[in-house]
Amino acid sequence: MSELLQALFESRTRERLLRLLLSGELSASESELARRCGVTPKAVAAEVKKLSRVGLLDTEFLGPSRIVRINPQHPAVRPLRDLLTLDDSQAVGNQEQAWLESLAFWGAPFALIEKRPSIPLESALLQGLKAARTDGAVMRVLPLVVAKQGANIDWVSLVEGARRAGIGMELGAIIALAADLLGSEALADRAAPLRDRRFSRIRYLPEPRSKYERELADQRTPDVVRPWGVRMNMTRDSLASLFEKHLA
Amino acid sequence: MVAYLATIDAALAGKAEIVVIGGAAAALGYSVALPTSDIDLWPFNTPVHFWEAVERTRGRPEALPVSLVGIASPPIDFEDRLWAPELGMQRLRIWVPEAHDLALLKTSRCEAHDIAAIEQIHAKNPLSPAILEERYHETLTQVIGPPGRFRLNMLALVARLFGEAAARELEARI
Repeated sequence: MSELLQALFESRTRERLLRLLLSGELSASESELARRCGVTPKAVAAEVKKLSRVGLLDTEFLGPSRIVRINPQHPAVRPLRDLLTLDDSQAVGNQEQAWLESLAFWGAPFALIEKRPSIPLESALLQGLKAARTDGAVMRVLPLVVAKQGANIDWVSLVEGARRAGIGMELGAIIALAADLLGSEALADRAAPLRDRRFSRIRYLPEPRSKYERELADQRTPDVVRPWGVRMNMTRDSLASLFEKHLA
Repeated sequence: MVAYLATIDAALAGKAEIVVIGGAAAALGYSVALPTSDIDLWPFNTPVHFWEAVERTRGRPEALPVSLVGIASPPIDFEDRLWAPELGMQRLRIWVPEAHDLALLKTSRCEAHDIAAIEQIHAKNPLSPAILEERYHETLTQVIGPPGRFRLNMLALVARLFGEAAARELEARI
């Protein structure tokens, strides 16, 4: 947390909670928010109580779970969102660091990146997928994050985000690859809605920088990825080895 | 990564030397930005007490997977060119390959992230096309798998580092 936010919020949990709830006006149970913030449900409940009291959050019970969402009518919502966005760029240097740190928090095995849930999991995956167009190191870890977090991903938000960004087929390829490496049919089913048969153009992850790199990608793309119109210079064996090391 | 190596260092029963290769070597020796957090070791008389220290520290929060590489094809005599970055260890001596050797080690696989890592090494420690070509021929005798695959990998590497025209010229020679 930056000095600015430390001074304003005093509580890192409160800052993370607001950051999550203000990004896309997410609603979630307290336990889900606790998981995403990397803190205990009790810590989240305490913050939710304070923020509800001043009208910034709405809560309702759904069965045994208390669902929390931002109150979009509250006049402080917009300035708070602006403040947190401003702080993202100032505190971590740039947005790239924020999503890299978030990917690391959710299981990307980056050796030199701090683990911090600066942005929601789904946003970090989408940012990572965009970066994978040019960066092989990011591309390599995305199936692993999907495999690790499959049960925790907000699939509606992720799929909609990918479609809006025009990277639905790429996301489908990553999910299909993760499902294949995990041997999970349930995960493979998550990819199905992303299939868009109108797309016929081949897309490379990352984009090759020479005809030789293109040839390598054309040769090495795992079979499960090919139907998605995606090509990558990464073998299934190599990804399986990464899974073996980091899913144990 | 350095934090975990320091933990192992503190847990060692005596002095130990290891040769780190792959992404960990790129990170430790050449500050490559996005290596994955596993530590691949070249089989190099790694003492038993090193593995005992790894075992003892496996549950620590900073622990990373450490393993011996099964298959790797370094240039001949690469062990003579190893160097040890200063990492502040007491008992653990960590060796990494010289930049051209590491580049060729990664070229034997040459996936997208390998090429990106070599490009970063080149940006900080400019690689010589002549040395790469010379050691390519040495390595060719070591690589496992079809020689044509290693040749294409090498051409992709040269195209990335020195441009496609340089790769086309090399294509005529190798």
